[in-house]
Amino acid sequence: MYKAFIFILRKELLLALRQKTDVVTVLFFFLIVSSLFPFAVGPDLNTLKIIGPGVVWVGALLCSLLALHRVFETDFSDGSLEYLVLSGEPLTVLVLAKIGSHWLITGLPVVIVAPLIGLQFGLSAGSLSLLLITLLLGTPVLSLMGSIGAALTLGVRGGAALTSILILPFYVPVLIFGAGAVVADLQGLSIEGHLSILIAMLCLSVALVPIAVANAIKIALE
Amino acid sequence: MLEIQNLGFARGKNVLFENLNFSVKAGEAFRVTGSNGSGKTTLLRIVSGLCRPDNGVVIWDRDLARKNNSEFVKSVNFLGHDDGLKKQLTATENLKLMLPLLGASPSDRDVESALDAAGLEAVKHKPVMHMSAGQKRRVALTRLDFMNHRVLWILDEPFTSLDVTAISGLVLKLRKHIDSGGLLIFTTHQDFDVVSEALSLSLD
Amino acid sequence: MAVFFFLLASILTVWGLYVGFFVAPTDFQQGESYRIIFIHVPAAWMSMLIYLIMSFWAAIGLIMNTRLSSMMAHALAPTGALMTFIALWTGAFWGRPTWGAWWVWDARLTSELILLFLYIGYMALRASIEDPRRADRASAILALVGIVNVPIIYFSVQWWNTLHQGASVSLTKSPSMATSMLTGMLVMALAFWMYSIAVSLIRVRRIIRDREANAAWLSDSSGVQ
Repeated sequence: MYKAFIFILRKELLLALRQKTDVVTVLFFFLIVSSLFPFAVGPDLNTLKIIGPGVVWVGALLCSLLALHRVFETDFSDGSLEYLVLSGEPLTVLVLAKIGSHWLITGLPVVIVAPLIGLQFGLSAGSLSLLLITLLLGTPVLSLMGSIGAALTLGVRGGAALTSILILPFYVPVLIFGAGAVVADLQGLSIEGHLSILIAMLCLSVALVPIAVANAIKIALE
Repeated sequence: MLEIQNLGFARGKNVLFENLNFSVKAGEAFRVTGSNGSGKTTLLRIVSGLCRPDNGVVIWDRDLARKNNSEFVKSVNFLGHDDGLKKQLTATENLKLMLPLLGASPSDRDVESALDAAGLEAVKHKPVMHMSAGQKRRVALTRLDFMNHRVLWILDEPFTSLDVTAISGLVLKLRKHIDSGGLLIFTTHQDFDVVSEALSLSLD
Repeated sequence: MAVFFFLLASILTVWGLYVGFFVAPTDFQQGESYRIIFIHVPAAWMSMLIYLIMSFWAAIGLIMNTRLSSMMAHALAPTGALMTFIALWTGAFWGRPTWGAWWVWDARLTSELILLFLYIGYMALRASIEDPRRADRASAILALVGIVNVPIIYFSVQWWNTLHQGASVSLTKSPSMATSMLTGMLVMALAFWMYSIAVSLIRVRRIIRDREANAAWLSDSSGVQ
């Protein structure tokens, strides 16, 4: 089981190395989306400071959405997914490995770049590190929740657009507590509650999402 | 022993098969024939547990396959229409990263010599996307060399896009598997003698 | 049977609206505009209840592999979405004179909006999967994930709302509600129940006919009508 997890991780990372454009596209998308906001609301640094955490979070959320539909799509079309299901290893573990590597490839780079974008919005060092922490806790939840939508729409026409309709409601709590923590901190409020809820959501989704995704994949293959 | 009882499946209004009964014992080959769209692939996917039938059951060693699924699946070696290869990876990498998931952990040398034997020596270190359909199929079929621990082979159109030498090589592999007590179910719409003693079922 | 429920729904609607618009006293703070709650509150109740029932049927269909329960879930979704939509619109109509804005990011209103998104997602997923049985199972998973998430979403929206603007505006009324107000609301809720049952029955009948046009069991399942 543990071995299977590692092998999937290795395979996905090797694939990502061969196809770096995927990662780069997501990063550029993040950069461009968040750079659009100052053009829309004006260059006043005080305004930008207020919307900064929200913008970075929404940008990260959109990146997650953009990358998501690929998490199982190629495996579905080239037949690898069938072999995963018939491998005899617990599908939930394999699914968790797939989602984990997907986050490492498309989620983690976004988290790393986020403070740079935060700088553009005049966020202080304290806010930036808090932003980093909330993104580290929150973006895996986004990947997990999102992969439910990706698995449900496998092989369905208009899959990518449909995925976003399905999962955006589930992204709301993550966004509220993720961006909310940084805003609360700016207002001098305690953020312990926010962070513990983010951690709780992460634990809950790590435990439950693979079950939903494994079932969704089996349904898609029928 | 594999037993199929009263299997029925309909796609929408189109009934593919009804009341299908057959059994395959150790050392037996079972061939499913039929025209395009007659339900060969669906039947194989149901037997392997990927699809659910509308009616009927699949019984493996006197137990319901669906009930004892994780045990059953570990006895199944399924080869579908799609090769399951990652096009950015080489043939060697594909096999080396896939076989451990299927319960085989061959050494690098074993994998490479199996690919050489399949006539892929020149291309085994090239990304699969630069290969022809027949070459990809041969890479996928090389997996069979390491799947003897899974006794029930379910192969969907294994002969597609293979040339004459590859076909005879595959026939040898299949015969070896059966002779060592394995079970084989396969589909083909080409009409040549694969495993002479194979039982046969036509879905037409 | 559907006709019977329709009749019941119309009678109850007439009665409920009469109580709501003519019998119930004018609110001393909000004047006449509050009367929209006789539609708003029952619709909001129904929107949540239908989501629960829909997920229940979807789950039964997924676990027991019974087609009729999946079809019930399928039939309920549009009604649930309609109820959510009505609740949102009437909320806006009420908000305009009361809060001075068509839309306020009130916790309940926001949750209701997200509920609408959940319904839309459910229906969109169903509509885009051609094989009806796959659609049944996939949408059931979505509904179940939704059920787990609804409390989380509701809780987080409330948290977010209090953090940002304080609980200054809220739909909760003072507990001293006139009896006629309560009667009107309950009668209207009952009317919406009947309407939902009637419409879902008609819809499920059509779904059965569409999907199982040639299946033999249709003849001996006329009981569902």
